[in-house]
Amino acid sequence: MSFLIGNPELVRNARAELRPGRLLAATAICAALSLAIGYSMAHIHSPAENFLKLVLFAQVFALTIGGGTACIHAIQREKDQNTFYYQRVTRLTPLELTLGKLFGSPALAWFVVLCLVPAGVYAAVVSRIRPSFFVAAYALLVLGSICFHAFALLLSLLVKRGGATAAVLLLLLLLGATSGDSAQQGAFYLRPVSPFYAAKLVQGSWDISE
Amino acid sequence: MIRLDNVTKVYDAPASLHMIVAADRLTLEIPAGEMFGLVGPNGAGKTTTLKMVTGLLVPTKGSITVNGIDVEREPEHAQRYLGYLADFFSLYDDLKVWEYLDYFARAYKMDRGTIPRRIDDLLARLGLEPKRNAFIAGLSRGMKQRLGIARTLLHDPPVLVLDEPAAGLDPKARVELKQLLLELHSAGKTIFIASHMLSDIEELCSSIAIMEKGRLLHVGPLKDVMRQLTEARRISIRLAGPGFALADWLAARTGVRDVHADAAAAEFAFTGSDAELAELVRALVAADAPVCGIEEVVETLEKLFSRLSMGEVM
Repeated sequence: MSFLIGNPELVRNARAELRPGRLLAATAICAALSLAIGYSMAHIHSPAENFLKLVLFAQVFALTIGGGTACIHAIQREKDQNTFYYQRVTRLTPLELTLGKLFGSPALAWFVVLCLVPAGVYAAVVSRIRPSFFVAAYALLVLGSICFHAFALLLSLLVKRGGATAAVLLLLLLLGATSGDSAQQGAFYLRPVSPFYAAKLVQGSWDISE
Repeated sequence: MIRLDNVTKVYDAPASLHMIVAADRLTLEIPAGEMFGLVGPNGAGKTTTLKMVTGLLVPTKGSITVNGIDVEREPEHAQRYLGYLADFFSLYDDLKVWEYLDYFARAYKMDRGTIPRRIDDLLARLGLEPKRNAFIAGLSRGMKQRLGIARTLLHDPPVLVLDEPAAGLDPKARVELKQLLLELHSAGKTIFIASHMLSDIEELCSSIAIMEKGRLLHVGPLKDVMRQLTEARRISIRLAGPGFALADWLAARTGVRDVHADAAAAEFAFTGSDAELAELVRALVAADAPVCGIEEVVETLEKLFSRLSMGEVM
């Protein structure tokens, strides 16, 4: 873990992404969103459970779309600005660069997820869902998102200079194919491990073979 | 310190189905502490050569060592001895000046305890202290170039590889850059510099290589290369007024070639010795030519290079 925390590439990305102004704005938006959703759900059937699902959806959107786009731009921007040359003449290893970009580029998206966690915990407590399901939902959210970000990073590496828009579209296509309710398994049977499935999980039913 | 041994770099050019030889059997040795200039027209292969020295490109054939370390086999080890400045800025606009240097200091795996002091020193040395907390996006071109140089010097490498370091700088920034390079040279750094600014190269470098179409045409100490390129010294004679047929008179003398004359002045190439030149001047005065000035024209690298590229000398 210290290998990750001391990673220069991670520190650089975190510094660029997590400026105080951005953090303040993200916190305010998340707080307002939580209050608005909570208030609008106060009068429906099992509001806490639905609130939790919505919070999870918001977190998944932040990570997949926000974080995924950030990962797409991570290597593309280096290519466009020729900054890759200077990274390659340092003593950073390819693994350090990859991990730094994987966890550093979507730093703001992870911060948004963190901001929404209190709302999620509150809803979980009120709705009395089993703690194991709640933890499993977040584990799926985190692991699924990391896989998704890794795929976005790979796209960023493979797509030619200036091809970021095409890569984002491809990423959205994959997201749609693995998250919809209409297809039972989703594309490539990935739906049960899609980060979107975290919301399904808190309903207390999840089966990898579903 | 830097050694290129029969280095060749061939690029594939899929559109034309031809191979492009960017570097053709380059053999070069740059001793420690040398300021070495690489000059040549666009497309000569200068940038390719510098990139191979820094390990950014792998030679198709041959080997490159820096401080005895093979750049291709031990790239991470070699980077400890190399500082590279490319011909483009390529900075992270969303970082502050100190953050940018801190990032590279960590990336070069410098001792964490020494990083803040090193950054302070470089910011002060390069006049960037007032911009410490400024975002890079807001820096002027000259400031960005200084920051690039600060990054190059960050891990105190003994070898600096600089590709067009003065490109796009205003005259004041160019003078400051030259001063900095001279300071670094006197501090014992080995500097390998490619530039179109031939006057700067002439002023700074003790040895040069002239490159064209991937080949090294001339390599050696600056004075030797210039002597090789200068077949004969050029002499300029000025008369007090018109009325003397200077061009015809000169054309009839032995050792005089390539006469360019107007009504009261002439410039020509002279292959004779100093004594023969003195005899020529004596004869000219004896012929009643109103000589009021005679001087040896100092050939600059720029003039020689432009003649070289026009095919006048090879």
